[in-house]
Amino acid sequence: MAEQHDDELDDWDDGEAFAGLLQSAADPSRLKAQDTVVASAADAAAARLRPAPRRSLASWPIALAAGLVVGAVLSPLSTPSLGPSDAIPDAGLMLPADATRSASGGVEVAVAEADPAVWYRYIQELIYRGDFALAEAHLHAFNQLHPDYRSDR
Amino acid sequence: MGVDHFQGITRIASSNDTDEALLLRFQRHGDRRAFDIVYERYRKPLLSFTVGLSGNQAVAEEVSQQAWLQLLEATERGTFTPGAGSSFRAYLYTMARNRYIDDYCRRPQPVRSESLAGGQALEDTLASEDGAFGGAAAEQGRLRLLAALAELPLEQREVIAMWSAGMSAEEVARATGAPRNTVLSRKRYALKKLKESLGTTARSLLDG
Repeated sequence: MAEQHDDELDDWDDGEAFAGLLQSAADPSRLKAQDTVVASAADAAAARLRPAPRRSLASWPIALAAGLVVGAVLSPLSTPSLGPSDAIPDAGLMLPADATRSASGGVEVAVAEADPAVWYRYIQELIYRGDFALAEAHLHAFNQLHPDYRSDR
Repeated sequence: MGVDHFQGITRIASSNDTDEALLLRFQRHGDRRAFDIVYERYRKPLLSFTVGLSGNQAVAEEVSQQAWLQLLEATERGTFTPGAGSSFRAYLYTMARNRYIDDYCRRPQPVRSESLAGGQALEDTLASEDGAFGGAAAEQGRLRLLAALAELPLEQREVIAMWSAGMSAEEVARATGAPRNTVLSRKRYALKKLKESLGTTARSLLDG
């Protein structure tokens, strides 16, 4: 008799009703703690998996765009006012050490001795930061010292 | 989520999508809804599987949670790859099975506290209309079944857990590394022992 039962159970699908009983043996009411933990982990994983949003054209070269626009506005205002007798208004203007780090090893430099490209970038940074008064002073001096300067960018 | 807001996604994850498609979508785009659909599909079935595997509700809950976290780690590493000829269900259950063996079978086992009493309660539950464990009165019967499962050797218990979860004999053979005939044999012996441990109504289910 027992052998007969064994033969019947050789089929993988036999005992389906008992399989259903086993499936109901778990108590799913205690899954709330797991739900919380898994949801939190899934949130964190999803945040890391999502591709970073592309930078829009408006947000990427903000400093550059602002510098060009303001520079274009300010240049005509400042350059024509200079006459042959005008003193170069760069007295006291300095590039701070952090602005010259790449070109001069991070020391404060008088604008007359500064690399024009570094100086130009510094002016853009001033505009970007909203320090328009200082930016205008630097731009005024810059236009006098480097009237033919053209940014590569 | 009304519309997709992730880059590269052109439509909303659907409950009609396959498990594998949804998991790959989560892995590639971080689509949270895709993961939620899969989680909802397997939340209870995975717990049922780990209960059958361990014969212990508390252990089953821990193993189930760890398996989900391991799955999330795999998607984060980009290593979730549903194998050829293997379902996501088999992937998830095999992960849980391996986790259970690593965490609970390769170190000294605590003494089990489930009582082997409750045979009559199991009989009563099985004789009820829906034949499932539902109310508080059936709790003893449920514990009786868990205890009977826990008495089985691990090799037989894991086969029974996978079989009752709907995995094919081939999938169980792959997951356990045992030949198909061995898997069939383990299932046969496990059911025979369960018949001996449980009452007459359970026997009728096993024979049916």
